[in-house]
Amino acid sequence: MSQVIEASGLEVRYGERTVVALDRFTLDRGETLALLGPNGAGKSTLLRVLALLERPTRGTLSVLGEPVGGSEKQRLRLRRRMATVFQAPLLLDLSLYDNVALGLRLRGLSEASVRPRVTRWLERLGIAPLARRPARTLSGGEAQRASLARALVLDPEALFLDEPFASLDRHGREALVLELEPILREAAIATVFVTHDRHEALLLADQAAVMLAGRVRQRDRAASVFAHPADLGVARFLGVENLLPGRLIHCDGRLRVELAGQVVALRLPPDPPERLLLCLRAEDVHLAPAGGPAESGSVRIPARVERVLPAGVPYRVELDAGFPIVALAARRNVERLGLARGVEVLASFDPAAIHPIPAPEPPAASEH
Amino acid sequence: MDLIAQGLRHAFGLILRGDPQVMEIMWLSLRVSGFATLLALLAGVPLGLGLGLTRFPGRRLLLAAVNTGMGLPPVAVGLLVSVVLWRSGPLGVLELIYTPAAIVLAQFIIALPVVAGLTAAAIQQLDPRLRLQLLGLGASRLQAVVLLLREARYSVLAAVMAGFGAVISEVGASMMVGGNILHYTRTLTTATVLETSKGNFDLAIALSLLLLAITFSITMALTALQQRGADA
Repeated sequence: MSQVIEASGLEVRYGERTVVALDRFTLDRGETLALLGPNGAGKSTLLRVLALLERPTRGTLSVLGEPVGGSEKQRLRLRRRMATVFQAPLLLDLSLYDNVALGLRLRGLSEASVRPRVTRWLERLGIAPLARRPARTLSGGEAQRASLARALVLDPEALFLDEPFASLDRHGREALVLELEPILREAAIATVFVTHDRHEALLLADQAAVMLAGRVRQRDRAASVFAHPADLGVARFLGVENLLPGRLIHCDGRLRVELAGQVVALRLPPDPPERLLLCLRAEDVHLAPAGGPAESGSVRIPARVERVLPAGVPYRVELDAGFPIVALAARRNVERLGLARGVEVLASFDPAAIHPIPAPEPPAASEH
Repeated sequence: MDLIAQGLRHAFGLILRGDPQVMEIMWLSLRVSGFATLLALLAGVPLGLGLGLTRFPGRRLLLAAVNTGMGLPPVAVGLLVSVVLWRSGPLGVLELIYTPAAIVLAQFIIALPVVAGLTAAAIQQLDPRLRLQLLGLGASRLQAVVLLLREARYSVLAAVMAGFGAVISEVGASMMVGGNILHYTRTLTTATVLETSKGNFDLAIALSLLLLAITFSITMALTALQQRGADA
């Protein structure tokens, strides 16, 4: 059995509303999949269906090599080979130790076999000194570690994590993600985790799937999804700042596109679309003084500064080049170029940083 | 003033001496109301769990009925049970009217909605995702319900004690279906009514003091439990 989960024609409806509609969904043994998408896209619902916590309206589902039927007995048996962790730690009013031991005791294991397993995971997640503490006295980070230990102690064959770090502050989240990464890699547990965070997805996941309105719109290696969004919806969700209006000139081994009066040659995508939007990350846009030299081989577009926003460490610079362009600039550069509203600059970027996607109809690249 | 002072003195005497008549009445009250509460717990907690955890057509209506039942007037219950148990009534053949069993039945009907309604409220106060989390850790449905009940244990205990408090202190239904028969169906409340009407204030005060002591102990225990739950 190489596939831990195999589903087809999966559909979940709440009344008239279709929340999840998947033609096909698979999860391989040892694979870690990040499930991305905006709120209400159906990620958590899909997770609950896969974890056998909710029944789909229709479709077939096979878990751990067994077609899942209607019997609660079978669902319980399969559930006991998996584990689920939710966003809130949801600990019981017991000691930390008893909370972590809970799943093993529910399976009727003897205390002699429970103790070493619980101790091992308490130590691994750095919460062993807190073992006797009542769960209600733990901090948010400690409680979330307890919640993860409670799932990992079960040695699950499949692990489902529903935004497991979202309740933590930034610092606690990063620390826990860095700790979880080797654990998931070593144990090679097939894992599906719901997240909003790009860094979590890139760090923990082999594969990423973007869900929009109940459907998986793109699934690929995590890095590829972020670099090459499949369509406008995915690009917008992933926060691609620039969707530039390109006009297709012709394909001759390379894709030739007209952008702001210049012909740009792009790598030919497998299935070149007729109408194009050019995805460009703001961090790939370099700014130089107007009329000055730019890096050779790059696309150069004169533009005027609209706004300069101190957004985090780099500044976010919004430009007008006949169409909007967003660039990120270090503070040093903002000062050197004297960036302020109305200043003329030269925006340039490597054509290789451009990823073309099909433009929707009517074209979103409206002329203004 | 003299009447009250004398009444109080006699009353304390009756209690401290362990007057057989007073003790007999108190024990009957405790047995009848305790048994009625036990039955209400056995039926009311599962009913409350069902109302709190499941969704089915008519659930809202049933919940509204249970909540209304929490304020059920004891005399109305007394009337209903009297009619049903009356010799010529539908269950007259059981010959239960004017027996302790009749009081138990009436008090059970009074306590049931209190226990069920407060149990449902206690379960609904838990995080709704907690049940999914327990199932996600491999709990069977039954194990999950037991663990949820354990999480809500302070509130459920409060529900049971509120049920006991309601029935130990009610008089209308006990009087109507028990008949206030000496050595048989005379409870603290019905005896207090009778002795007061006869002008035996010392005995009435003694009975009232015992009733107060019992309800006070319940309230104290309840408060202690809730505080433990709140601190927890």
